[in-house]
Amino acid sequence: MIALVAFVLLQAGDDFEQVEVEAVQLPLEQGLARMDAFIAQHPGHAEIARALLWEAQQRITQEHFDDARALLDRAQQSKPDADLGFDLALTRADSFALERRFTDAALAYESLNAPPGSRWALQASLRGAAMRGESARHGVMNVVAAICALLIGARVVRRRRVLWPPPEEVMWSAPVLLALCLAALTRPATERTAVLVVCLGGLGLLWLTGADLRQRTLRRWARLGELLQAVFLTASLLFCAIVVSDLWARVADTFAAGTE
Amino acid sequence: MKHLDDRPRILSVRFGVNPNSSSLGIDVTFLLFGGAAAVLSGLLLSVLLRGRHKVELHGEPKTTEPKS
Repeated sequence: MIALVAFVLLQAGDDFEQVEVEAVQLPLEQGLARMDAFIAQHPGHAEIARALLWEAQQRITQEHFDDARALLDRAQQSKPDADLGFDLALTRADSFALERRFTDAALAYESLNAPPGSRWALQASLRGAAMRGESARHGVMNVVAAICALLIGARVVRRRRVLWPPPEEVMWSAPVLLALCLAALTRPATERTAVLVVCLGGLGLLWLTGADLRQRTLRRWARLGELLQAVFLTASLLFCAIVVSDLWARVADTFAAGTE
Repeated sequence: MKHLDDRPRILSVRFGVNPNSSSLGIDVTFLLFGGAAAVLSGLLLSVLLRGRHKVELHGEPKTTEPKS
């Protein structure tokens, strides 16, 4: 009985930091339930916005971004102090960034209006610039991918009846490219994705190009056009693979500072 | 006095890795750019070597020469 009363008193405790320590030590869902109980029991508590921010951060780690932003809205309505208000706004912008809504994230960082020189202003400035870059790169990638789709689609339509048997280009390149794919399987997901896109996409390009060219006789200018198209398609494939797998910053660092 | 067994033990070692570096590893750089180079060289060779004459594929309907 005494233990039960002690447990109930502990559950009903109004020390937010104690509740936060308990919630952190529990598994995620149980920790969230513990914090929910605290919020339900103390709707007018001074730390209610901080509790909601903690819950929102956990929801972001679960990639439940809409739930996280709903919690941040509730926290904002509870009239937090100015510092916590900036934390809430920064967390909201981070949720857009992690959801890969780069334009929304850039706008959210820009609208933070933190005092100049504060940590929020610095973080918003750095992350906002990164998001603007990502947004621009994804825009370019969409245009490049559309042009490639048109070029490749035209070849598929023109040569769909003569794709089999595979041309020699595929026979000679496939062992090398598949070996690279196998080697990439041991790497982390982002790096693996980029290598697989380049190698498998490239194999498709080689197949289509070989099937197309074995049906044509090329004059000088047509051959030059095909050469330029080959360079464009390969460069586009590499660019799209790097952007889509979020490796752009790391590739830029590799060029600037050398490989690891 | 602290026993030797109480010291934290090294659980794993990775050579050639700088945890503060954000560059790609040499292996991934090779896989990524090597793959792109293999694709590009295949395409360029294809364009340079093919296109001199049309290949007749097995099963393809033959075009008939117009009789003069």
